[in-house]
Amino acid sequence: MLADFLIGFQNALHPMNILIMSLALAGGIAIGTLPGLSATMGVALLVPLTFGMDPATGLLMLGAMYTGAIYGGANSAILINTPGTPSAVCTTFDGYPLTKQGRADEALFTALVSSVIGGVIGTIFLLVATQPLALVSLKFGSPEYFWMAIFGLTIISSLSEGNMIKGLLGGVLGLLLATIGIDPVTGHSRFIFDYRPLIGGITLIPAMIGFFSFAQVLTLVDENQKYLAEYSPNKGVIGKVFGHMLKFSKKNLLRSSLIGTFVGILPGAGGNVASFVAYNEAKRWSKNPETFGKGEIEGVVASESSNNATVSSSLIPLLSLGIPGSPVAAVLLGGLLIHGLQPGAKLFIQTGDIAYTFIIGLIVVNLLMLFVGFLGMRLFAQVLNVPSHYIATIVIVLSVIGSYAIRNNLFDIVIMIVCGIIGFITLKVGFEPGPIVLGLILGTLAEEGFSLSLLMAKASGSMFDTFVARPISAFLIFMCIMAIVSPIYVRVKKSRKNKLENA
Amino acid sequence: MSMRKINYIISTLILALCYFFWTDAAGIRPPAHIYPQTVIAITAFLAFALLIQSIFFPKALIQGKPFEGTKYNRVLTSIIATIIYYFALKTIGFYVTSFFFIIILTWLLGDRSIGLKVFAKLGVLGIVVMGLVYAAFKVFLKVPTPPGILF
Repeated sequence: MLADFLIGFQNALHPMNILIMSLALAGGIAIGTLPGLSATMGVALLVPLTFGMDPATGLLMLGAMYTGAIYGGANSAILINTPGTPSAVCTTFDGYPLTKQGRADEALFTALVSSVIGGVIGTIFLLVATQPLALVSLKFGSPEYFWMAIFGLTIISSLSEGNMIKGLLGGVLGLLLATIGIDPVTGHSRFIFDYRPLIGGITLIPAMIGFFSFAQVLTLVDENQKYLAEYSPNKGVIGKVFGHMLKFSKKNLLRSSLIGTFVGILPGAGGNVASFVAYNEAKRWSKNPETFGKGEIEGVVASESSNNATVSSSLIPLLSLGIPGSPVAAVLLGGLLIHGLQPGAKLFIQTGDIAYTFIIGLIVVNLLMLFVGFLGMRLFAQVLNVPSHYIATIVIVLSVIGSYAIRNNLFDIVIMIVCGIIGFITLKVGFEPGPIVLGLILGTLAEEGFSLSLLMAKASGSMFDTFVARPISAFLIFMCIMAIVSPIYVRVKKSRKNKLENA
Repeated sequence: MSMRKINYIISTLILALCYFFWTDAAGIRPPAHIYPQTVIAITAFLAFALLIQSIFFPKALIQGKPFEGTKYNRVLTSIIATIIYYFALKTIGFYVTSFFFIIILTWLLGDRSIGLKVFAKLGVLGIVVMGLVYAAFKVFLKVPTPPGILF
């Protein structure tokens, strides 16, 4: 194993591999920045290019593309309030307010450093704890997934600024939208009201582009300001961000990266779920939870470190058990098989040098991202110097092609436009798009978990044993209760303290 | 329109939506109906709670008029232009339609001055943006774009 590890180390640092990883990273960042173009699409497009390559180099290129795409989503989330990927939805909550405050480069650099740290922590787990973590992920059945989705939904209480009822209503409307289409249990269509195109359901990416991107364009048009925000490059940003992170963000970074690592190994849950959970926890543990959503740098730290930690950890079930837990992992599985590599225990025994080159290469990729991302960041920030009516028109064109590209379906453009108009109106009347999109993301996970658990309960004859008595389920139920009760407890305690101080 | 009145309209619309969804859910074979009906029931309950809050606890609502100061002309122009863009790209093709869409909407949202220089500038913008989109999506990523009779 040590020999394989050393060969992996040597291969990962080969100049040609570093060049290829840098190019793939740059491509990944560009893909992630464009709304609608996913990491899966980027990795899938690169697979044919790896045919003629050495297997380790090919895998490193795919890994670099994946890492870059997940990070890239933060750029558009911060600059134009449009998450490039679903994983970057939470980054918009504080990233865009920071841009509005003229602190765009601070937010962009924080997102970059957090992504790098999250990615490195996730990869360390991939390196040292692949087997035990993969076995834990196998203990997750339908009831655990159901409770995991419910735990994710508890964040709505944190996302609801102003009126809690509207926040909750937004969340359940998202859940309701997710039920449109084919029933996962019986396979029958429902809630399509004889309109055939709805049979495919409300696809997440076009809806997300609509709620964030098109709604944001309409808001921009309505505000009628010449530029999105004031921007002038801040020369001391590197020192400022590192100083802040060293002083205040250590716990948040570690907690969010661990959340990302753990959520990432669960098949079906990805960076989007991880970032919501990590954001919620960062807010819950913060001394100033009221600043979240208004330009709190810790919100960007939590979201970005957790979503990039999922990149490596989502490969744990694939590399150790041969189970692809995410769409990107499935594409990577194809890449492994094309090169004659067998995922699972054999990968480490028969082709250990390639496996370790890939894993160590992912650490190198994350470190390289610090330089590649920094160069890109300076370029992307120039968007703020373009008049806003130019941006609005270009974003509409990109939203149209991004919505269409997912399924090559014109109806997805309709979904994007309708969700955008609804998003603009709901923003005006006090509904935030965050809870609606969260409901849409977790809806499928919650329903599949619930429906399959119900069938399991029917077969076993006990609802309690199926839904509550399983150890991981019990733990998740406890976490749900804590997530709901603790903000209320903190609020009551704070108001009592204020009353005592005023008395 | 005040937030209170807007909340009345929203809750009524959501309650009506719940009614239609509930009626449709009645036809789903058990036990697949449990989850959607639970979600519908919670939605209806929350919409009702919003209605009650607006009637009896108006102080809890954000005061002010949410649509006050909205530049309806600009917003509606953007929405209508996007809808026309959608129908045009279905028949004409993505690249040609997008080129004209960029020129027209940017002009409509700008100061609407007329002159050769203005349109030449917008034309260059359209060519540059569509050139970059073509290079990125068609050449490099090979992402299909909506087809049409032209390009």
